[in-house]
This record gives sequence, structure tokens and C-alpha cells, in this order.
Amino acid sequence: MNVSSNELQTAVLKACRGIGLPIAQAQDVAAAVAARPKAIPDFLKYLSEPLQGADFDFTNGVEVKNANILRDFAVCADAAIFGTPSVVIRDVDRCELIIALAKHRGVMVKTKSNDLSVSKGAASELLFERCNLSTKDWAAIGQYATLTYVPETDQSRIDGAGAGLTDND
Amino acid sequence: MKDEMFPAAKLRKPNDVMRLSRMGAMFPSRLSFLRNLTRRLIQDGSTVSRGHWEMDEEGYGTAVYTIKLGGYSYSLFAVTQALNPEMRTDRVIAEAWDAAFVLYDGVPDASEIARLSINAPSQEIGRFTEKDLCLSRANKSVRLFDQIVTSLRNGSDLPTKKIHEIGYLMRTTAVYGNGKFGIADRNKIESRPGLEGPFMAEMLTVWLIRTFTHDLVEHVGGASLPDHIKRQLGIGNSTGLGMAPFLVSHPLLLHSWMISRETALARVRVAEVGSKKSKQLIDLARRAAQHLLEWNVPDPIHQERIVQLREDWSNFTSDLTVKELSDEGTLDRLLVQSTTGTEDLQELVVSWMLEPFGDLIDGLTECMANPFEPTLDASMRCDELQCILDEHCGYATKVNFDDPHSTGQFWYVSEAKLEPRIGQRHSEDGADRESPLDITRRIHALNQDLSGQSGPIWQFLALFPQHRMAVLRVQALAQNNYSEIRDNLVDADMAPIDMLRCKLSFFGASKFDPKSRLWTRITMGQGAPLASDLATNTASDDWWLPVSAG
Repeated sequence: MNVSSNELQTAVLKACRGIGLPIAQAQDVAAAVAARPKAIPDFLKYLSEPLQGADFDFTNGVEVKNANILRDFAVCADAAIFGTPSVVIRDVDRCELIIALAKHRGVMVKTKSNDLSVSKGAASELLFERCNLSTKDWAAIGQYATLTYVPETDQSRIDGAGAGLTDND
Repeated sequence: MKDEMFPAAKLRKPNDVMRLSRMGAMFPSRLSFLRNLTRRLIQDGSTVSRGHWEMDEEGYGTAVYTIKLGGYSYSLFAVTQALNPEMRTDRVIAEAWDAAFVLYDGVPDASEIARLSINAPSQEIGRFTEKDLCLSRANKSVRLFDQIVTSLRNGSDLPTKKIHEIGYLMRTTAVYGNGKFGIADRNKIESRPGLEGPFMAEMLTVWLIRTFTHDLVEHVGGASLPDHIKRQLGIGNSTGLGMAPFLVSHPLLLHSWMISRETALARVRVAEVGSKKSKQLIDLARRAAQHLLEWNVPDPIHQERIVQLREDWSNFTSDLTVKELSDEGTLDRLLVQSTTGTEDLQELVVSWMLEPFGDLIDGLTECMANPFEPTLDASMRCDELQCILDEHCGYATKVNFDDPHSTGQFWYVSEAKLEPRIGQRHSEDGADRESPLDITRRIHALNQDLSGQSGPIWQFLALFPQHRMAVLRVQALAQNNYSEIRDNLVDADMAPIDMLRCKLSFFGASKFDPKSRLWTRITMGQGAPLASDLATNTASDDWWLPVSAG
């Protein structure tokens, strides 16, 4: 299925919101994935993980345990951009999604002993182009997006949107 | 902004400008996007050709119009069908329309016309390609269309009064751009000459649709309409909540629109007026008065506002003289004087004052596109953010969100049509899936949690990830003072119609005809140049606030 970049970005944003990701982090993920569609399989994998709280330790830079990459990568990138000497996310492997997020934020990522280190990098140009997706992936993203939709009732159809039932004039 | 080249007064304060009630009183101006487009078409020497027209006697079939702009060709594909009146609804839940349109990149060949003929009438459930730039549909104003057809067929008098009152033969109910349903992303065209500005492709689409509606009624009627009548026929639009979230989700773009307009006003307030522009202002004041007289709506509340504005406008302008307007400082004084009146009066005064000063302000339209999104300044400390909150965000931090009235509504996306809607938080389900348009409430919550915090803001956000958006918006607000609507968008009394009017006025809409707090009809392009005016080099930019031809 050939989709526009904006379609993909919007669908990813909604999917992130569907699992309860805060809006700004969802926007970051959506832009990152739209600029690197090959991150979609990893993105779908992370979408299925629960959004539990992470443990941050600022004693020696930043150390994060139980991180949810979709939510917590943003603040790790912030710390790296800020110049924090050591930013480490425990028990996370480098993958296409993480590369996408890193490129989007202009930081570098490396894996060592199952931990991910994030450091300041150079911003690179992001390309937002159309892409071909499998209908399976597109449907999977859509399934998460539906979690943001509110089922309608007869009353909400009338009260919530406005406009007449017919407009012959 | 290119401020330094021109003397300018102080900008109006964002706390005054960015209130919903004022945004809901805005009028189109010469900076509006459709005005900007038609100026560009005139400057570019653009011409329109109709390369395809396959319509039966009743006006059902397909057509293609091609226009050259900035070295590119764009085509409007149109397809019409017979529509059961029971199916004719302006709501987004509609499944069929009198006409469907695609703005096409280039000139479609037979196979592309065949593809568009199948997909365009399906609209949201169709599928489109990178060659398709905008997607739209429209319904007839059936009575006016039929009356004109009858007049043309019989050779009888045209219903000129009704033509001006209604102002269009068809009204669009959506104009989609930027990748929706597979059409081209905006980044494909955003640097093309003539389409750089916001919504230029959409404006080109509606202007070409207007041309099509003129040809269609002439085709079915079997005779030509006089050009002065055709100019009176713009293109209608019926707009609901789908348009409203855009202003919230594009804060830097909103800032660019607003500060361009406010900068224009600041320049004009201290501009040398001279006798020529003074005369123009007096003529425009008379035109505005006539426009107000001819603008009538069924909604009693808005009709009352219009009636009041007629009186206020008359009082404000009736004694103006060329000499007085030519005096130094008069426009500034008049603007200050207007602030004792209603916001309707104040905003009409703003649009009126801008109109004669194209030489000073038209260049500001180049500043109205803004592709950027807010970015986090991670180095900011919590106390610095607190200072910004204190300085700029009183409109949010002082709201009592413990009062259920302050959270009475919520925005959501309907499962059935994937479109924004408004719900009543305390009596309807769905608030757990609320769309994040409650920026004021989020800023308020950020302010509460920030209290007593220290250190860099990124550490705060590690502990409070839910506040990232509010931090972004507050930081952006410090640099872009017009980026936020300074009102509570979930308050029980919030009327989305105010957001719609603001955005539509930037498009160039007039004759706002609100049907409820949630949707409105408007007229676009009434009085605008025709394609034939472009062809004969007789097109004029002088069409602020349409009035009847007389």
C-alpha cells in the first residue's frame, strides 16, 4: 500500500496516543517513523509493550531502567543534547526504531552489553517521502489508532458535530 | 519579520488579540489567502483553459480545467452526478455529493481521468496518488442553481437579488490537502512558485471550482451569464469542527498568520495616508456599510451582532473626511477610538485600514508560511520556565480547573467518520479518549507541578513526561507571542465557531452564516476576478467585502 508521508505520520501519532503515550512524545515518534518507515516493525513491537513507569537515576549523568523507548527516549536525547556526559538506557538494543528516533533528535546511539548509550550528535536532514507499507502493518497501526476514537451515539451525531441532516437550499 | 524597513507602531498585545471572542470577530483582509492567490495569478499572467468537457444536458459528467502558475500546470478535475435530495447533506457523514473535485499536478490523460472519475466521487473512501494535490466535493445551492438555469433557458430576468444574497452556486463541504487519503504531501509543492503560502493549493482548488460552477450553470441553462453576474457568484463552503483543531496543532503557523496581520496593522497605523488613500478609505467605508446591510443570517444572535455593527460602523465612519484621514496620526487615533466599541467593530476597522496599503503590507504574506514545530530547549532551567509561565501564561494558570464548568467540554475523534467532535464531559462517555486540545489546562497543570522544582527542565520531564507538550508550548510562546489561543478550549462556554471564523477569515471568507456554535456557512471569492478577467488582463485586486453589483 502506497501512503503519503503525512498519512503515515498521522497514523503513527494516533497509534502512540492509542496506547496512552503523552502527545509530545507521540509527535516525536511519529515524525521519526515517518522519516524512516523501515522502523515500522520495531515500532509495532514497542507499541505492544506496557507503559510502565521508568526509573531515572541522575547520580552519574542519566541511567534509566525499565524505560519505554517510545516515551523515554525523548528525555534521554534532551539530556545528551544538554551535554550530560553519560546517558545510558539499560537493557535496550539498538534497532531501526531507535535509529529513527536518534536521527530525528540529532543524537548518536551505541549498544554495549545490552545497554544503549545516547550521546550528542550532528543533526541530519530528514526526508519525508511516500512509502509502500504492507497492508498488515498498516492495519496493525490502525488497530492501535482506533483506541483514540470515541464510538458515536445517535445523540453525539446530532450534538457533537453540528450541521443539518439534509441541506437542500 | 521584515519590520525594520518600515516605521511601525507597537503591536497589539497577544493577551487582547488571541482571545476567542476577538478571533470570532475577524474579517477577511488583503492578506487573506484567496486574495493573495488571485494577486499572484494576476501578476503571473496565469490563464485557464478547459481541455475536457463531457457533460450531458443535465450537467452530469466530467471536466478538466488547466491553469499555469509559476512555471507549473495544475488541473482541476470535476465530476458531477445526479443526487437524491435526501442524500444532500453538508455534514462530514455524507456519502455522496453533487460534484467532486481533484486538483491534479499537470494535465490528466484519459487513463488518469478514468481513475479520477472512479475515486473522486468516493472522497474519503477513495484512494489517491502523488499526482493528486487536493481533494474536494461540493453540493449545489439547488434553488439558486435551478432558478438561474430557468432564467437562462427562458431568457427571463436573472434573480440578481438572490444571486448576491446567496453568493454561490455550489458550496464545498471539505477541501483536503497534505497527504490525506494518499494525495500528495504538502512538501511536494511547498516551494513551487505561487504555492509557497499557506493553503495556496486549496485556494487554487476552490477558485477553479468556482469557475467550473459558472460554466456548469451556463451549460445546463444553454446561455451565458454576464461577467458582472458571474463575479457575484463565489464559492460557498460549509465548515464544521474538522477545521478547528488545526489552529491548536500548528502553534507556530498560527503565530505567523497573526503576527503578519498585526505587523501590517502596526505599519498602517503610522503610515502616511495622503489624499488618494484617504479617498479610498472613505469609499471602502461606504462599501463596508453596504456589505453589512446586505449580510443577513437566520441565526438571531449573529443577526443581532450584524445589526449592531451596522450602527456602530455608521457612527464610526459617517463623519470621516479626506482631510481628516490625511492628517498625521489619524489612523492610529481611529484605531484607539475603535477599542471603545465592540470587537466586531474593532476587527472590521483593522481589515478596513489595511485595505489601501498593499504597498506597505502585501509582502508580509511571504511570512505567513511556517513549516516549523516547537522544539524543546532542554537547557532551560525550571525557574526560567516558571518566569515564562508567570509572564505569559496568566490566562491559563489563573483558571480554576476545580470548577466543573472549566472542564465542561472535551474534544474527541468520532469512530464513525474519524472527525473531530465536541462532547459534554460531565454527561457523555469518551473523555478518557480526549484529543489533546486542552492546552490551557495542560499549561495550568504544568504550572502546578513545576512549583518548587529546580534543575534543568529535562530532569523535570523525566519525572513528569506528561508535561512535555506544555513545556514545548510555553517555551514557544515566549518567542512566538501569538502562537496560542489564550482561552480555555474545554470550558463549558467555549464556542468552536470562534476558531472557525478566525481560520476562515484568513482564507478570505466573508458573509459568515453560523448555523450553530459548531458549524458555519461562508462565501469565498464573491467579487473575485474571473478566469476570463485573467485572460483579458482586466482582473482587479479590488474585491474586499463583496457588495451587490447594483
